[in-house]
Amino acid sequence: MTGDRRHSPSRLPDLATLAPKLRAFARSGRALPLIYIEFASEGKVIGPNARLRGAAYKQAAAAALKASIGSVLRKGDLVAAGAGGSWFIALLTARKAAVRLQTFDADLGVAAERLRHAVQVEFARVRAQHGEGLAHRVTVRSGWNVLEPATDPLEALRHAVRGAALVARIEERRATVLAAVTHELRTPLTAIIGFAERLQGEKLRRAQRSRYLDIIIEESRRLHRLAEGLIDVGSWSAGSLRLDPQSHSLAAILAAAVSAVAERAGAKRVTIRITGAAKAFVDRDRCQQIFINLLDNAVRHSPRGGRVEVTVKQHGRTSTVTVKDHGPGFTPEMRRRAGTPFAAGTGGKVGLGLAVARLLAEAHGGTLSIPASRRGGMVAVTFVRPKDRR
Amino acid sequence: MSAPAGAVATRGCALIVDDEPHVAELLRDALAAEGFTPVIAVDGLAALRRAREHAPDVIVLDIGLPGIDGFEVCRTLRKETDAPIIVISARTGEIDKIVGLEVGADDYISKPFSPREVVARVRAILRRSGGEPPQPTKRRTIGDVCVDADRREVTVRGTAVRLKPREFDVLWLFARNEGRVFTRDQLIEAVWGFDFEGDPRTVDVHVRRIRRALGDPASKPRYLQTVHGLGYKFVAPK
Repeated sequence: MTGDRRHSPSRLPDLATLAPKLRAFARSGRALPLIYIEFASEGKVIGPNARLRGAAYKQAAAAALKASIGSVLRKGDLVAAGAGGSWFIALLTARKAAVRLQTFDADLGVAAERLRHAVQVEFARVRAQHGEGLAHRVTVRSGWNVLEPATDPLEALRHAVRGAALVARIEERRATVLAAVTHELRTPLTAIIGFAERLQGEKLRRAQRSRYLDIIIEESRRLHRLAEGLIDVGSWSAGSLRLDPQSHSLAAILAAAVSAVAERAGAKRVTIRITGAAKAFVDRDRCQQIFINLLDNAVRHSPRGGRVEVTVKQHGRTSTVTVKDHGPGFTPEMRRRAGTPFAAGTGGKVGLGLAVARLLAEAHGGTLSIPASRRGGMVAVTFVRPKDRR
Repeated sequence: MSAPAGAVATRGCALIVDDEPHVAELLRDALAAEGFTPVIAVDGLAALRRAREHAPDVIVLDIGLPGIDGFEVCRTLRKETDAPIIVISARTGEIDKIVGLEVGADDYISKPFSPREVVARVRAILRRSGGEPPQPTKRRTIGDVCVDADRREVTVRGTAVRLKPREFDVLWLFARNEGRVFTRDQLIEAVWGFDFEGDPRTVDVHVRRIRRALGDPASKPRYLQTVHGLGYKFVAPK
């Protein structure tokens, strides 16, 4: 079956039906570019019934495929679906596929991304129009590979698909990291650019000018912390993160971290209470960054007028800081995925802060965990003093 | 948070929904300076409460809220109020714009944004939703230039001159506001609309072309004059 606009994933042929055509290409010695598209749904479905949900997503998948064929794929391209319709592949068969790829910036990855984007847009459109389950997101991943001519082309195709699926996961992770970074940078930039514009354009009282300058400075420092956190993540990934651990009072570091989030807490009338004391062998700046990220997260998810409780404990060489809020808390999936760097947080938002905190905790030889909590959210960070340090 | 002292509220209530205190403050000050009475909500539940209490005339809603998903807040607000909703977001994907507009937003702005842009969009949206505009006069004669909006014709001393559609729109705006100074931003907002994303200097290009069509010398224009530091105005030559 070729790139036919009438096809929906549920009616796409399976891989085995491509065998005769693949043998013909294999005999010609031609390698075929392969694009892999996978659908993954996540989140809670809020909808009247499951049957409606199934119909809506079949409609979305059909619309997505229709949108993609013609915009990216051409007549003669081969398409086939995996079992259950959760993924499909396209083999670009045009004799001048190389020329087409040049049209797509000479990059099969770009072609795959364009197809992925077209499919994702259609899913979003149908999902929004259907008015159901906005929390139920369908993520579309794209991967790619090259199908080499082989004596057993079907086996070679299955092998190529497995490789493309792996590429899809790697690409998704890369895109998630990029989205996390740009997302986190945009808000402080908004404040800096916005208040700078107001300073430029408006006749302001001295107190207002002073206030705006304070905000610009504070948000610039926030950007700086973000940048430092990202640099640390990069260094950690490369195995080159250098810490400067000394013995510090965790309560003192926490107090400094509270100052950094004081304005956000004040705006929501959230009180932060610290109890207990402990000493730990930590890099002061990185430890403060961990606490800022946890407190910022807790305040952000606290209801107006709520409170955040920070408990500091010491058991022998182990120091633990627990940050608890009274917000909606972590779902089991979020608890599982927030342990993964750059996993999606609430409503699909990307949790850069928790990810950085976890990496920095682990860089100290410690841990960051999200214990189950009956009410609200709770995050615990643990440091263990080395035996040879006081 | 309340409006800064000295602001005279004449344009109605603007509900600002953003959990980032500095962004909320930025929007509050920008809208208050334009005469709006700002009301701030820091999360979805508060947004719904405030909307019911204050019946805002316009809502500026950040999608990235803690707790209830911002799109869900938008959907609920849309069911409960006809007030225009402008969504702001740190996410720039086409997908989020589609979802935002599909669930009831009237406009979508990405962070970082210019507060001037937000204000311009708020004003434009309110203009569009605020009832019928006054009927414009269909024909204006200023000096030797006659602009006929019904026929979309321009003549200079009785001789027709050719203008492209957008050039005509710019000239018509000037002609029916003889003597009034328009800044580039005002021209863009009035002629191109709030969704214009191009270079504001396109205004200068259009002015240059209009002058050429009218035979108005660029070095010393008599009709379409430059007001340095401000913008342009259209006057009858002395």
